[in-house]
Amino acid sequence: MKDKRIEDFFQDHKQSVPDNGFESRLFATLDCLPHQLPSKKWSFLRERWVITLLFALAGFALFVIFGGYSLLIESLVSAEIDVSNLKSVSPQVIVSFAFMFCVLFGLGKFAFESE
Amino acid sequence: MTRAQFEKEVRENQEPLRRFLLNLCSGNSSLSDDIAQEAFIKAYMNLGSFSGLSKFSTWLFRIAYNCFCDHMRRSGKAEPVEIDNTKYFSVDDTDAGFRNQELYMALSLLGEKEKTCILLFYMEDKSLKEISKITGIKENTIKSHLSRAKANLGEHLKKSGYER
Repeated sequence: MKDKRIEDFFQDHKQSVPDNGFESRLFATLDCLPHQLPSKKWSFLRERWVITLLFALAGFALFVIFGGYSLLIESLVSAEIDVSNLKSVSPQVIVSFAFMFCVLFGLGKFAFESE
Repeated sequence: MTRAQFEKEVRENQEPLRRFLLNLCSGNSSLSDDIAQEAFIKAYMNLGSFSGLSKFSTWLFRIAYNCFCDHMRRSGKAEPVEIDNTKYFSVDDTDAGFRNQELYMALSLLGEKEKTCILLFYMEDKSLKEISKITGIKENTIKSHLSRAKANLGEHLKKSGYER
């Protein structure tokens, strides 16, 4: 992707920037700062795993309280019946699969980009 | 990160960072050093927010670039260029001075974003992903900035008869 002529130009014109007391001035300024080196602050919102765990626990609690287990079994059984009754691939099935794929793809992309 | 580790990072990164800022500031060395100093102090004060997802140098360049943009916003427009070759080169070193003038002349043909992208890509050897993290510009947009800058510079170098 790099253009040879432009690359050569920039490499030829790359300056070396001598220290000229920059580091010592910087470190002297850092020594004068009111705060010492800040330790990594523990932020509740920044700790993503805490939020994930809290929501997972809340979800599990709601699942248990509202009898999610029996509902899940019932749904699976009815889904099994529906699938076994399925004779051909109807447009609704295709649309629902496409929709599900788009949702999963969108979520994955969002998660990847936010990372 | 301890103070010793931070000092090590400063030693490793101060030259490329100051060169990048010097070129962004069109050779105004006192301004670029002030911005570099501000960037290092900000980095030091916010070490706790460095997540380690990117390289330390990328994070540092991002802070420095933001400081530069803040300065540009505050000053409203680019300050008159006052190239101070004597600070980095002896007065006799006319060749270095001439090369600097040549570089700043070429960079002056580019827009702010194009200049930033081309300096990071060609002079500091940063990847598109790193440039994207530093500038906050999407990779595809960086590609178009680079291509426009290449076209402008290519034409300029051709006209000026630049050959290695």
